[in-house]
Amino acid sequence: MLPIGGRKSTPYVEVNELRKLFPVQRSLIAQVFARTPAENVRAVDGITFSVERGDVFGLVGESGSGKTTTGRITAGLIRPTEGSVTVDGAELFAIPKPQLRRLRKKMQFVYQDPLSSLNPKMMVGDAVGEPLRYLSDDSASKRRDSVFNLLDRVGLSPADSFFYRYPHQLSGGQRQRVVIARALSINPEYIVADEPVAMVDVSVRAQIMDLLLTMQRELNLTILLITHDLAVAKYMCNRIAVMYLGRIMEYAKTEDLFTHPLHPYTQALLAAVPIPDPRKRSEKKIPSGEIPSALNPPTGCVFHPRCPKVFDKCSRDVPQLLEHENGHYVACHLYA
Amino acid sequence: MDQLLQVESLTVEYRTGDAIATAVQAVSLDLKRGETLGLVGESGSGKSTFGLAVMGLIRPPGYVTDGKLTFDGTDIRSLTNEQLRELRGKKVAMIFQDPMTSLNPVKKVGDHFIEYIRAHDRDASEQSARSTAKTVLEDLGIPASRVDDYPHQFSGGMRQRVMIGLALALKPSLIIADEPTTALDVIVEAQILKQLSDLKEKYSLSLILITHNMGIVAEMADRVAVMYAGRLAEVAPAVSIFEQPKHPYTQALLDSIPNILTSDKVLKTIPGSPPDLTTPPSGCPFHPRCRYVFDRCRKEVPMLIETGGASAAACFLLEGEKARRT
Amino acid sequence: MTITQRTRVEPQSQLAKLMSPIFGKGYGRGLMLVGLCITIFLTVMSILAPFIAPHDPTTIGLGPPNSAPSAVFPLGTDQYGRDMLSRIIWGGRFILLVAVAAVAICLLIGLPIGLVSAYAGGNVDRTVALVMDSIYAFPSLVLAIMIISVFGVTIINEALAIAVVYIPSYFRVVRSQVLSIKEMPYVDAAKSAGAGTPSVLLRYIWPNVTASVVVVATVNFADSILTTAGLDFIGLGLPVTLPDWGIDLTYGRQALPLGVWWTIVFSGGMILLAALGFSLISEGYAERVNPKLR
Repeated sequence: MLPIGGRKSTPYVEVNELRKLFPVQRSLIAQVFARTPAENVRAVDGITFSVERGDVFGLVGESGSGKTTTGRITAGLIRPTEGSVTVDGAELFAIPKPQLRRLRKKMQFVYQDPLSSLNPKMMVGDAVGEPLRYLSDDSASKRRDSVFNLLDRVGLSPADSFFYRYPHQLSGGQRQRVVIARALSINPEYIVADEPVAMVDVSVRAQIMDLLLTMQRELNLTILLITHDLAVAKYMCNRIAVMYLGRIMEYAKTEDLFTHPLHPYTQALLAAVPIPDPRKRSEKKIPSGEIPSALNPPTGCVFHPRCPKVFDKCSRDVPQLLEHENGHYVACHLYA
Repeated sequence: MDQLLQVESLTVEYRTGDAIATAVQAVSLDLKRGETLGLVGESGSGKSTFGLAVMGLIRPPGYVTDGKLTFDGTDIRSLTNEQLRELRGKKVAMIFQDPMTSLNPVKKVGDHFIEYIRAHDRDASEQSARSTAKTVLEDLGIPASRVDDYPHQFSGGMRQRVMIGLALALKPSLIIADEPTTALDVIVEAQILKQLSDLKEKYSLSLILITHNMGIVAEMADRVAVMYAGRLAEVAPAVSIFEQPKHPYTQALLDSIPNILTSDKVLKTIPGSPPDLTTPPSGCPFHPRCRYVFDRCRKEVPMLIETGGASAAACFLLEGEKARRT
Repeated sequence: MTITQRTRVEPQSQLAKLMSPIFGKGYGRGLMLVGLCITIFLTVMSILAPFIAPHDPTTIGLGPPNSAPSAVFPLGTDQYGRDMLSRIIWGGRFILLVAVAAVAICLLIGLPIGLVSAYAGGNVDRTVALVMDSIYAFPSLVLAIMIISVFGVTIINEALAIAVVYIPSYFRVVRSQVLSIKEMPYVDAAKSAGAGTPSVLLRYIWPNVTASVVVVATVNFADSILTTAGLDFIGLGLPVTLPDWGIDLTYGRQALPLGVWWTIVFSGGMILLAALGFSLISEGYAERVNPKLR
């Protein structure tokens, strides 16, 4: 368990030594006749962190970092291969079904692409009311009222006009609002948002980010925000974990991460992000190469092949995620 | 001649069964030799259509209904298909967003080069085309031995490099890159952008960089053109457009994007969303979302007004300013 | 911060949603309307046959055998002196009934199997698909002949024979759709909203599959009309005395060298018309729905 420096309360979400391996698909014949065991994609390889109630916690990483898989596991959508996830005191994958069902009401997942996360043949009003339909005992008319309220709340007014529309009749930003309304319908406590603004037009992103933050404030939501966009993470999150190839490289309060990034990977990420200000153009030190395959991760520290500060320990030993300063954790031999 | 590309009042329409969408409306832009022009806009802005039009790649249901396109003194619209094919590759080349779908998965990378080179120069031997391919790959940081590999054997960033290599193979003077790094991770994106910068220096290229990302434009562009709903909203040198944006859309956009260097805790949101091009708003296309909107904006379309320093913006607010300038 | 919508969108009933492709622009609409007109016309004609046929189609000797179309017998007579017009009016019943039955059986069997198998996935699905593919490879007419020869001729048997061969088509179409739909985030979202398997299948997967089924069903209709007519033609259809386009086609063929063109033309024409009607509906519907799907 990660000792959380200076905090007295129990965390709302605790993730412990989480591991998720995806076996590589093989054909029927290969399954029957193969001599070698199936290979695994090590999507998540030993993740431990915790999220406080009311936190907006960012899981930041590039593709293949395992952030989406981690998010989906903590929302109870897929089972981990190893490790545990505890939400509000209940261990997600160890509790009996009725209890899990009750727990589901507290957690919701907001998908990346609003178009494909809404049933094209279902009206917006019906879609928003789905969680209520299955997870609550409310009557149809009560559900309808709730939906109207929700639509207003997320800015889709007049609600009675939006209720009867279909997803293809809405703009990207409006669709994302529908998805958010649906997630909020059963008054969850915990929301996992996967790239909530990546597929929304640039001029509309601020609206959606603000909506999420407003909802978070009003409902004291705990949000796990998955994104590759550091600027979005900085704006929205109060705590950020940087992931690379299934592991956490660094984990700190937002201000600390951006003012003194410790891990060479974090430093590289920050240097690489294009800044919308030409006066800040500078010579960048960009690591070479690309993210290796998660089928066969590098030994020792997974970042070592590309790290500008690599030394021999890095290829042998896996660095542990240790607290360097108050609340600032890093997994790097430079600081061990 | 100093001007490599001159576009005057370009208009491109897409006609689908029910409706007509004007993707580009009366856009005029110039590009100097050796310049990097950042063409910025969101979905529906017309920026990609603009790039395709310069390449002569607009096909039905798209039609270039108006405008003059002059490349290096040649009128592009007057060229025959044969001549356009000559132009493409040798003078102007394009890089697209998704290298996965731009490369033929059943063809070796080297063969892509060979086919491309020989399509433009029937006399080129397979040998010489192959060695050009190897040289270009090396230039981009890909070992020449990989010339016989298939696209799926390359990572995303390397595939995009192959695309850039293909674009450079015939030594064009202009490269149009349409969202070249959108499908790539941040670090690879930085690598590719740096590489593009270096190559531009090395081969004295001119570059039109089409993107929705203001950060990329700030890093790479000498001049920036902002498009909205098919029209040109603002054109200015990179530094001035970020320091003193004149068009309300540019201002609003810059105020709404998060930036890792600043500690702004409040982003100014822009209400509404980009319009449907089949039923665009009357007058200025941005007016329904503009914080300064007044009556005239709803009725008339503003023309580009020069604001000094090689800058111009299409907004009625600037008319008074022009009169005040010396 | 919000944009007010000026137009109010009315809720659409299920029927309206299904019918909406008919009322829109594009050539699809025209095709569908023509197809529907033909189909409705033929259906009404077949249903009202007892009331509108001028004569009894089985009565022989009503007029001189093989007489050309005239005022008395607008479509001529066949070699037994029976009125062709009445035979044509009555002749579609069997064929259309078999077609309806065949499509109904296919829908009742092919659809659920496709839905469930694809949703279940894994090796079960692969095995079922393998079985279906082998049936699919069989030529429909040959299989129909086999089944009819063994089990005899009734509406049900003919319908079954045709259905058996067509079920794999439905299965395939439904399965491929379901396979891609079940991976969609909105199905995932439904599950995390607490929807159980029946709800997911009925409200999320099935509604997104219907469009393609309509296309297959109408093609199925057209094909079964031709197959039934074909079976009648080779003598594996109805008892020879009853009126049937396919049987008349057989006679027509024999009578043609005698210069009797009307039997073959009218009976053949009706078969074509029926097949065409359904095909047009299918084409028109596909064209209407597809652009929206894009």
